Amino acid sequence: MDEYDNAFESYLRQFEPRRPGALTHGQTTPFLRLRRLAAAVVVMMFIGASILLVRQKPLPTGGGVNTARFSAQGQPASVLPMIQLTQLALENPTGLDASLSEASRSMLPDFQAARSTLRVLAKE
Amino acid sequence: MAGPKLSAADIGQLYEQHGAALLLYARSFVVDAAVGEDLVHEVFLKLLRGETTVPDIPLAYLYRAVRNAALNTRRDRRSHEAHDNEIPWFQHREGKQEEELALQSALGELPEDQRAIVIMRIWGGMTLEEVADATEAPLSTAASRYRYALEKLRERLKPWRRLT
Repeated sequence: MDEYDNAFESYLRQFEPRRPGALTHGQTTPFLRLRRLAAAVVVMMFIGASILLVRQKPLPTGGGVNTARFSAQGQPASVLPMIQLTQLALENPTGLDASLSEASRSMLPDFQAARSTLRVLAKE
Repeated sequence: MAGPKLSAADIGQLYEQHGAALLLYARSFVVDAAVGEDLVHEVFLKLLRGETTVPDIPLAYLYRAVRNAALNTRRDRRSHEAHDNEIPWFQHREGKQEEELALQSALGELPEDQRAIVIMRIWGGMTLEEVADATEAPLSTAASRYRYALEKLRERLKPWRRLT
């Protein structure tokens, strides 16, 4: 490095680059804030979608004998439709017994609903 | 190779000594001053949070980290670059604003590898050996790039230097 370069280097050093603002430990940059905001939006969208899905799921209408809420395996059981049961009772009583017996193997009685099996039986 | 973990005081000292040169380096990639400052802050905040280990030569790491962050940001924000820099890169000790802008322009026109070396050497206070390490170039290459860059800057700034 010769004197010629040294002089020019000194000249360049008269120009001071601007200093960045103070750095603090708890500081968040706009990028970080943006990332956090994006994460919050994703979480909110997920929660919103979940709520919508739950609301759109068809509920039992009470049109059948709600013999069970859950099967023995803990899975939601299907409701036996009242119309089908009535039809079966009129046309094929033996088939009705067989159908109810079959259903009872995988269903537990519902103790809570207004039209639950136990309430119906108690009234009778 | 990862070196010993830096304390908050060490990191603060690095920021104090090299923050301005790193900001200048960042701004040579992203023209927006605020974005450049955010990049530098982000790099140092990662160090403070202990999210990254620093190699034996922290300065080389810092320049590389700023460069990578700047290139990522530039790629993401290419469409916003028209909002140019109202805040000049430099401040002359005697307030020579035209020269500030002339230097900024001349520096901005250098090829990236030459510009990086000039910033590290002149405003970062690094030796040519450290610059070579930071830029992962042989010492002879770093030295010749530096000479070329100085020559170009000297040529561009000649009109102003005649006046002084």
